[in-house]
Amino acid sequence: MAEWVKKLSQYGIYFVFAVLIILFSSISRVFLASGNIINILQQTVALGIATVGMSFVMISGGIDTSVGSVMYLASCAGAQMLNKGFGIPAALTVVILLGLLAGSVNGIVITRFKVAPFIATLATTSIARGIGLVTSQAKMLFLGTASYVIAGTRWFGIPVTVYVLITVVLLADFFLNRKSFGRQLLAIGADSLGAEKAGIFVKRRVFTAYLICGMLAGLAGFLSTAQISAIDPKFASGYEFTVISATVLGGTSLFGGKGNIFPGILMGALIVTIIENGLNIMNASPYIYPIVKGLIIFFAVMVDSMKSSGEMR
Amino acid sequence: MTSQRDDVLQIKDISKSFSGVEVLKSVSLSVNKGEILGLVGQNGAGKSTLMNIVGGVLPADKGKMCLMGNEFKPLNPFMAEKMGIAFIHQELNLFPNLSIAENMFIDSFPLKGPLRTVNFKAARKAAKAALGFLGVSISPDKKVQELSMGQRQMVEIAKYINRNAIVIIFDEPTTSLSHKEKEMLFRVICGLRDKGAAIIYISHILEDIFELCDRAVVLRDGRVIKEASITEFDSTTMIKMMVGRDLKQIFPTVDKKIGQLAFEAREIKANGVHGVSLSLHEGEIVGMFGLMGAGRTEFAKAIFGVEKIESGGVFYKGEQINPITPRNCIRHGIAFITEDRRYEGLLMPKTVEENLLCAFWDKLTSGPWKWINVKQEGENAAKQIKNLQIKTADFKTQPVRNLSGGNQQKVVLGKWLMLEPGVILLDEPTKGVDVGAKYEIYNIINQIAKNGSSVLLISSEMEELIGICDRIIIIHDGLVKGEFHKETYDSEAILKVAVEGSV
Repeated sequence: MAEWVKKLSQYGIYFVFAVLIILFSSISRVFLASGNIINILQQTVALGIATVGMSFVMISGGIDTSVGSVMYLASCAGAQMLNKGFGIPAALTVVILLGLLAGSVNGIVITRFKVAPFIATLATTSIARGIGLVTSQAKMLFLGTASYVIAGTRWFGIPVTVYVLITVVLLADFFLNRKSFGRQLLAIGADSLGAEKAGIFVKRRVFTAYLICGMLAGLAGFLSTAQISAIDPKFASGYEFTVISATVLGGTSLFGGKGNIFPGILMGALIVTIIENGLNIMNASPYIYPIVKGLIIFFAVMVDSMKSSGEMR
Repeated sequence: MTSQRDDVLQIKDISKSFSGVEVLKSVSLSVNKGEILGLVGQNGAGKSTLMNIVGGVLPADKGKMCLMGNEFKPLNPFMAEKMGIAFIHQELNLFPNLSIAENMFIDSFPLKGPLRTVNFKAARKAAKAALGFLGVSISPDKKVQELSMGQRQMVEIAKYINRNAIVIIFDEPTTSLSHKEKEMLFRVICGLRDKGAAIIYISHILEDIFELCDRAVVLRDGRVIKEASITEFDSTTMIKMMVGRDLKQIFPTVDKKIGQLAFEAREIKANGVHGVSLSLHEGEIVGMFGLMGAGRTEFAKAIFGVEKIESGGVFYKGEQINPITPRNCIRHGIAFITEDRRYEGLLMPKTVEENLLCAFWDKLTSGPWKWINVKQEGENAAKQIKNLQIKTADFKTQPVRNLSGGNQQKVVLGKWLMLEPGVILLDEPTKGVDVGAKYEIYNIINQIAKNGSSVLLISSEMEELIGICDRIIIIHDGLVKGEFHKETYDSEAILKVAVEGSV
């Protein structure tokens, strides 16, 4: 395959990253101000965490379209816990358990009943959103003071949520690169039948990937709502596509069998956030956002396809 | 055999039936320590079934097996593997996106530390040692996608060396190897034998069996026809035993007329092809011979528009095909049957009928809305199945995946013959096909020519070219370096041109 595609996919992301920073900082002085950098980091947290989860699923050759709805459902439950007077640890536990539940439903339907991932998670998308809407009576939910605690706490001047993201990335990287699980997931993504023949417990590994994705989606939703301190019924609707584009930008293939968490996934999430932040600073019309997002997805997926048609055979 | 032999694996009276059809009928054979046993037989003779029983893929209905003197009854492939059976399948089971070392340990990495992390260092070391044993010096960190087919084969074998296999089964290991890689593999197999492994080698290529094996077993229709030292066989009797009838004339002939010029490719230049011209007459079968990488496949792909053509023209009955695209070629009545039937020629999970008709549906439609005539569908498929003698249980429901290699190839041929093409380009149509099916494919090719179509037959098997072609052209390094007519065939000269570029 063309050499430039290979080069582009290898270093392209750093190039894009640099260009964006130069572009936005030359347009606006605010962009590189320390306040805005913290802002960008804070905005990257939820997207980054959800993207890590998605990358496990996509490396295994699957896809999870329910991420946005699971984010909504889990954070609704978290908010209701907080409103009932429970503390943050209890709310966070419920959030993570709900994420695990959604992930396990996806995992079981996909591995046991062999439903195509896209269809299976599409069903979960609808169900999770529905449950969230019923329990919240389709009303705005507020997180109250807890949201200031979560979003406002800083260690060494950096928001505590950023440390959560870093922890998640490091742990995920450890599982992907240091444990058999990661290598086996890559093998499954390349050839799941072959993996079965090679003696890998394919179903268990794939199930685990969806479990992780669901759990991280829940966590991402809760941290994201803590940032805005309110949840409206449309929260994170369609967010999975932002997550998928960040995942693909980060070098994980839509065709499975390829991907890395650090630095890839982190860069993917950062780039998407920077673009949103930059447009925001430039006072661009909010209607431009979806167009730009669409272009990012299109470009990332195009490079991914060109790359994949060149190798793997 | 006598009790003197300390047989590593003994198979006693194994029988196996599939839905009432007896595939193995009380088969007994044994492999000794430090010997290579050749297992030959046509497709459907029961070779794979037998090896699948040994490998734990299938259970036997009757009979028993002994491994190192103990009763051996594997319940699944993993158990068989643990007990020392290595089954190297025809299709490699490697992950191109992972490194050699990762591939070798993918199901059971060496672990270390309290966190049970992968010990990549140990894996790499073991991989390197196994590769070194095979005499291959590739870095274990290299990704499999960067390796040649031969190297991949070595990796697959190295995988089993690591597991101290007692019995190693090779199923058609040479189909995708170049000559040099094949020699290398044979050296390795002999090395394994000398270290005391018991080896079962399955192949259609009898020359290889004679070169490599110490003993051979001929299977036919689920029975052992003969088990003896290789010196007691010669290739004619072996073929006879495999086929069960006298195949003295392996290559069928047919009465046909060679007509006027039908197809012409002029000065074709493409990747690896440096100016090759070709003309085909009606009813003519032209063979194209050359070593691997000489540019044969590239030439065929270029004139069919699959690969980019740099210069040159393609003419069908005087009319230039322009631009050269597969669609345009098909419209002019040219068909190209690729070497790789698994990926390019067939829809594996689809039925025989669907595969036969998938290029033909356009012609089965009628009326203003172009509805497909379902009745004609079945009739056409049935006719073709009968013509080509495709063996299928039920062509409307049986997926092509379940057919034998020879019958799959016939389906590919049948699909294109539906269109009644004037020119057929065949790339290695008998690759990986057993003797009996080969014969039938030759018959089909003859029939095509008899009906007035032209055939270009690309093959690495000189014998079959000499057997059925009217003319052979030889490609060397992207150029035509020789042409022989039927009366002047000389296999030594042909090979010499192919290897050295001149007589």
